[in-house]
Amino acid sequence: MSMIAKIVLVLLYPLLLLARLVNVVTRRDRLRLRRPQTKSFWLEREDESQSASYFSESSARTARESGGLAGVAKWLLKRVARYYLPRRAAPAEKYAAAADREQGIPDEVYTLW
Amino acid sequence: MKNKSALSGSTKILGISAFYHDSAAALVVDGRIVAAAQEERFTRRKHDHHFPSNAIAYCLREAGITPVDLDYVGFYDKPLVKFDRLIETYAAFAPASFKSYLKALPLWLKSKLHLQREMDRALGGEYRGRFVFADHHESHAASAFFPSPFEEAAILTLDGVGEWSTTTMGWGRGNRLKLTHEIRFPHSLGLLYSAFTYYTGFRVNSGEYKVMGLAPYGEPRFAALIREHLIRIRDDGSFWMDMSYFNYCQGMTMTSGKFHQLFGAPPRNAESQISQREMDLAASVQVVCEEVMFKCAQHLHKITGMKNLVMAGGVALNCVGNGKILREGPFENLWIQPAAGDAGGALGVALLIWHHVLSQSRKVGASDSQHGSWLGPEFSNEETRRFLDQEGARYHSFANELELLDRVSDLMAGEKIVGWVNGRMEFGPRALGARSIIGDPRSAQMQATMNLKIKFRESFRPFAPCVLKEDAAEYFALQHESPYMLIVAPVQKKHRRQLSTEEQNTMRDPDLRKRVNVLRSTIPAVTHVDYSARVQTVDEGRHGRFYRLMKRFKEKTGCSVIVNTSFNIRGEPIVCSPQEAYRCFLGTHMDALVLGDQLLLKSEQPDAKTFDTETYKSSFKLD
Repeated sequence: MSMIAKIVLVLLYPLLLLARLVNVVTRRDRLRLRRPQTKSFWLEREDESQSASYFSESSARTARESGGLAGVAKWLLKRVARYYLPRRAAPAEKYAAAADREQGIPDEVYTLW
Repeated sequence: MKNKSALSGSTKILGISAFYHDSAAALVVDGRIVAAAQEERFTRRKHDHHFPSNAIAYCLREAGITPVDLDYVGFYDKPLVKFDRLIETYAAFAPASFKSYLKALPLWLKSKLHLQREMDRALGGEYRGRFVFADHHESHAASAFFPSPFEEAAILTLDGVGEWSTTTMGWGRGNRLKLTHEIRFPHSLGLLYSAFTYYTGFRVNSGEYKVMGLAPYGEPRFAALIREHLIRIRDDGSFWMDMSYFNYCQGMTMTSGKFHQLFGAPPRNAESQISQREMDLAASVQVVCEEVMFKCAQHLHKITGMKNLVMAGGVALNCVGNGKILREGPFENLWIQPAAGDAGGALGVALLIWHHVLSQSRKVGASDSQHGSWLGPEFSNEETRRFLDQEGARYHSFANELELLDRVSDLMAGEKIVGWVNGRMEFGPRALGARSIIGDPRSAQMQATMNLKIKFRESFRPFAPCVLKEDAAEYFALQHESPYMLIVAPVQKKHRRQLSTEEQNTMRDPDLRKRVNVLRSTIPAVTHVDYSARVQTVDEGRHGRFYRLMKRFKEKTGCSVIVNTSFNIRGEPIVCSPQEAYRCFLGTHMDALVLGDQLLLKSEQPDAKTFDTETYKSSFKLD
């Protein structure tokens, strides 16, 4: 990863800090870290099983809920990612992923990432 | 299959799971499961997360096609939804999440946010169709419902995490499924179990089986503490977790200092002595896990009114919990995807494309459509003999199956341990009679010998029995078939041994090796300390030669049960090819090896004494 990308990541992180502050003030809690005072913790799922949704890497619900400063951070990060778009396969080229995991980080952490 | 012209005009769908855990590929042709395999079996790296290039190549080879011939390629989750969850989590835990954020994001920027391009490159730029992205839990649900033998069923999926969901429930009917409710990250039964796997000193994502195997040695004395502090469970099976006890959202470990304080010690160091405390912790989290699974099943039955249940997701590999659901109801029938973890997602997304995207109908037969989960590569006798000749191995070829089975059952009855490779390799984590190490369960030394001299693994771990389907109820309190070894059932009382006072004292000994050696039943090698067993029922329709071998063993010994463990050593993926099987045979104290129609005896092998076992063992990272 280039130094520029790391600098961009560092520069964007304060947005997440700010997002947390805003979340605290507005009591936005997508992770339900505060225990809900409800009889059930089940959440209703939205039906997104129309054919069109299967061709999308995202979902309608994510698009709707992904607002606020964290949403801005996501949008910016996706813009940054465009600069790292892997090139197309050359004929008879043996495939290797554009990036791989860093050594020394437990498998379970990568499972969550 | 392997006949391209036979497939012209048919719809060929490739499913892929990759980049997280247990990468795999599956090929579905006109709704039929043609091939499926995990990448680890080819790369020999357990739980390999890399793009499953080898597994894809195998699936296409099996059908005799290339990427150009594929109509659809599906990925088992939605990357942008996962990215949304990741960033929201980092925001919620800022600034503590900074280090994790800096480590995780480069991979996303360079690779995971370009998944279509990555898949296009991996397929050599030859695939011309569109890519499909299914929700992670919908992929699990599809892998559980569509191959099941049920026209309609309630669906329960439980795992660590996919995109946002960690647990979902819903129903399937005909060619449709719908997930109606969910629990979302970071509240996760799978991650709770993994937290205890980590805390008790085992590797997460592979040591969960060990925790489950350790649980019967302990008392669930921490269960109340877990319920009071870590997880709140409602009567409907839904739950909420207090994240101050965990560190997986923002850090590099599963548990936090507060967790360690609650249980009074830091996590156990891997490979250090296992104490009664770890056994009690394992028993406690197992009890809580079963409680949630059972309550979810009850609630699901209440809201769907259906009599069948299907399950998938990593937690569905908790066969003790599955056994409880099956025994105590309320569902009449239960079917679990054998590759219940992430590997099964590859199959799920392929089936989703066929039934949901293409709206194709689904035919339900008397049996499931998983083909015994024997969906991987197989090797011909010619290939095998060519390899053995190259190696200078000594072998006996049997043109007559009866003679082969006669010889092998004789060896087993003589307490010999046999490596058994026959037909297509299994898809999923269990060896189901295609790549198995087998032996006589009546032997008093079998469990210890297999653990320490064959598998080179912890002595406390139990082995699983295979039982002839028609005789299952004779040995186990099991009223249903269990062809995928996903149900734990008690050994029948009539087969249990009454323990003497001395033996009862031994059962409290801190040294687990002593406890393991106490004979508890007429089939001690497969009877766990609590008289339970993880049963595979074997029938002729699914298992063919493997069934006939067991039948012959029964004719000779009167015993319908054999020991069946996966053909590998600790840390090694299950063997795939004759080469890997032969290497494992030479590197362990196995007595005999069957490769198709060929039988090899260790005592006759010229290389047996010079084989470098230590190098072989050290080539696999301990799990």
